Amino acid sequence: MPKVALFVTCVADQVFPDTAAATVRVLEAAGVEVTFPPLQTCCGQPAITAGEPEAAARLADHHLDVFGALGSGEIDAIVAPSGSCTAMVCHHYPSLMTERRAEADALAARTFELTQYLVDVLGIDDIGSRLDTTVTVHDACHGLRNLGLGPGARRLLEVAGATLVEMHEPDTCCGFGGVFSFGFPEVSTRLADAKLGHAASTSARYLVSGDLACLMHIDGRRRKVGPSSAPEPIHIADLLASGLPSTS
Amino acid sequence: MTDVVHPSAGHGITTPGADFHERSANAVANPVLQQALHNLDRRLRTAGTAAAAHPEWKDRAAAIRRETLLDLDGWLDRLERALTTRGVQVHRASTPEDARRIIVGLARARGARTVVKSKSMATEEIDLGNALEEAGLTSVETDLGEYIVQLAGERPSHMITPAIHKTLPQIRDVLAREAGTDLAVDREALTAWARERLRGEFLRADIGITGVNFAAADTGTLVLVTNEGNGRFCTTLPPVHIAVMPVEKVIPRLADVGFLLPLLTTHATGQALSNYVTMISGPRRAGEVDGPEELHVVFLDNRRRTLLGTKYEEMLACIRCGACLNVCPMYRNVSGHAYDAVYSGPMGKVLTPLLSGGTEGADLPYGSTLCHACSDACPVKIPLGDMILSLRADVPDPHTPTRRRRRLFWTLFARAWSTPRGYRASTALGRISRGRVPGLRAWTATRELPRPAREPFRDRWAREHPEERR
Amino acid sequence: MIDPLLDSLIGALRANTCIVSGPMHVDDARAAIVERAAPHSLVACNADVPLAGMVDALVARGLDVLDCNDPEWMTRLAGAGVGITGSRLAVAQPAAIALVAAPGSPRATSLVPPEHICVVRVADIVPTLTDAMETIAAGEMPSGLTWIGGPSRTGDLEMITTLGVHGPRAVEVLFVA
Repeated sequence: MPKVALFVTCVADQVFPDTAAATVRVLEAAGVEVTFPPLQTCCGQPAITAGEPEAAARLADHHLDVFGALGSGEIDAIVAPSGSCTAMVCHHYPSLMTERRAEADALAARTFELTQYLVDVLGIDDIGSRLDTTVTVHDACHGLRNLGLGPGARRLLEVAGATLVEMHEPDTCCGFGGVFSFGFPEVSTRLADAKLGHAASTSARYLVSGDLACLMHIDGRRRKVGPSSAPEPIHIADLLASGLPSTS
Repeated sequence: MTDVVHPSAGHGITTPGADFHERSANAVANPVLQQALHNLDRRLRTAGTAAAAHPEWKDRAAAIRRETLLDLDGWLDRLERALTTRGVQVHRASTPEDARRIIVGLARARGARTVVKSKSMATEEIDLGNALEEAGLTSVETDLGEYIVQLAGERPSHMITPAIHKTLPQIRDVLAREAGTDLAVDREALTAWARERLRGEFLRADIGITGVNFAAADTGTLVLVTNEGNGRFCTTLPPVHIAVMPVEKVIPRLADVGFLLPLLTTHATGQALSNYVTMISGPRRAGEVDGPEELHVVFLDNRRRTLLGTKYEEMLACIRCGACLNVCPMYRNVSGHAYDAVYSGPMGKVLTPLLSGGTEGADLPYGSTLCHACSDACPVKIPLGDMILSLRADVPDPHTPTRRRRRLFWTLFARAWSTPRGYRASTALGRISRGRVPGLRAWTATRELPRPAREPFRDRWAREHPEERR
Repeated sequence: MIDPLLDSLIGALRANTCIVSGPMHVDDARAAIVERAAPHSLVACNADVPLAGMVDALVARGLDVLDCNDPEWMTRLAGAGVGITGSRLAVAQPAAIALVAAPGSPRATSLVPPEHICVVRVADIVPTLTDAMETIAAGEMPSGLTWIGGPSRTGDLEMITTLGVHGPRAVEVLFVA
């Protein structure tokens, strides 16, 4: 049985704990044993996007201390319900942490985004979830371009029985961008509106993504605008978990 | 309708504002500009598709550009020797001032009165058009889009399609004012008028000025890419041709253009090759009746060589195709003038601070969602997204008060969150305030912000897994 | 006989709004060009056209053929209806035809008149631009080498293609066997 340490991400930990719990359920449904290293905090991505790599490196050091300490006998992989936080570790840590380069490389090599781990690493696209609904997928930028995520998320949804309706430009940014959403709110909001509009055109029930930050942004705009025909933004772990047979 | 265009106000008419944020907000709020920007999607649909059939071109191109950068000075010396052998006069300009002085000097020495220019970002970079006008010469842009922008008193908003920010009625207004007569809002009619007018300028011109797309060091050949044919006119009719060549345009071998050219044009316009490619290896020869009698090449450095050996060196691999602009969510919504710089889009966010030594465009790198669509689109694999990110740290001067305040905030943040206890304490504070933290107005004005959960996941996990308590 | 290079080149040129004819015998090509040029009183014809007696045939038809050594050549060229040239070689992928500047074959013939007729020998077609560049770079580079893929065009007006901005609005490529 593969063993995985959950890299929960600070956003899921503090704001969306249900998504974190759903991630655990999805992993367990795939036959994975999940542990939670309790000393983890934040990967440091907010600091690096703010232009403060030294602060980011300090947080990265802590993340590396926590997860790097887990031996290969204890866990097989580290999995996060976020392409963006995974990209911080896999794409940015090696160049950010020059003094711990080898450790950072080793950590990057065993850190995975949720769907990437299930489909690409374990080769599992059916976790027993059954969905009778329509979905459209937003390709979150960092998962798509920093990690090179393939069709794994779509595969999981379709195998579960969801009907996939592609939106126009599924791979165009939702406008979040961390500090960008505060510094350039007009453009940021406009991009969220475009994303909601493209998603609405599909008439799908759910707008699915693998990144909570994008979903928080898109849903934040959706709720501000008020009642609309736009699909409900939802994390893929939440949707897949909702289709799992109830265990209790 | 001429209210959008006021030549006296200088460039950037469509997007005034004190900084990148203000200008981008104004651009988003400008309905005419937004209408014009819809046309950019036409390019998106075509650009790059032909190159997708040859993924290996990107690797080869990236390798050749980097091979060149490894010994840029050596390749420039070889190019200079090859050009000189062919009777071309080479000038080296380390600053824009040097380049302007050299070119104005050449024009004065020949008693030139009229100059025709083919679209060139390098001449924009050195603000050559204004320098020529100040020296008493008439300088006419001959690329149709650039001509429109020149007549409007503006600056190109896209390096391939300079007037992309203008709708057809606006273009009609600009041309009709120059014509002094009414013109129809009709592409054919407007093009025919411009053809007639600019034909006269070509025949009259004393000097043709162009940029350079590639310069082959082995054969001493300048390569110019156009579709309209204005580049051909500028290098065929006037007795003097001056080419302004940023130093990174050198390539080792002419044979390399076999795939560099299609790579450039597919990413620029979606064409397998542009309709005209001009390869110039010296002035006209004995017995030839056209082509320039004199050919000058100005090597322009403008801080480029200071980038060699730094983490920004790869920016010099850029071939100015515009692909990163076309895919950029920021560019597609705000257009080029919001950047208030010669180069816009992702490559402009990187190049503007670098070429100015940090004095210009320091706020450009922040106007990015860091989506990395630019890095993916780049035909020579420049990690534009990563460069934009690292420029946030490297530009501007880290000792300004704003930077010091920001650094303090993030240092404190990192100190707190790099210990589980500090993380717990600060997130508990966030829960008590129910997310009502100062400074969130920029977000909450247009978007709801979710509140922190009552019980963080870590607490739930500990509650549900008491056996794991350590 | 099927010639894949020729087919590919013809297809791409047509897709890029060129008029294509041939391949045909040199005598037919000469006659076809005379017919095409006939409506214009003044024409320009480069020495590199690979059709013996081309200028004589045009003159015989009553056309005024510009002499590029005429001091007024450039001014008169602006009034010419068509420019006729040969080519050094042609590339199938991407489709383009190479014109070389030389005495008797000025650059402006294919640029200034509103119509350009270019004669290409089928034997001069090479598969790729890289092949062409290697062939050309192996010899002495001409002062001016121009690659032409189609008529003068722009996308500057709302990104919709408009033809004949500065150079020819019509390009006719005539293949000879």
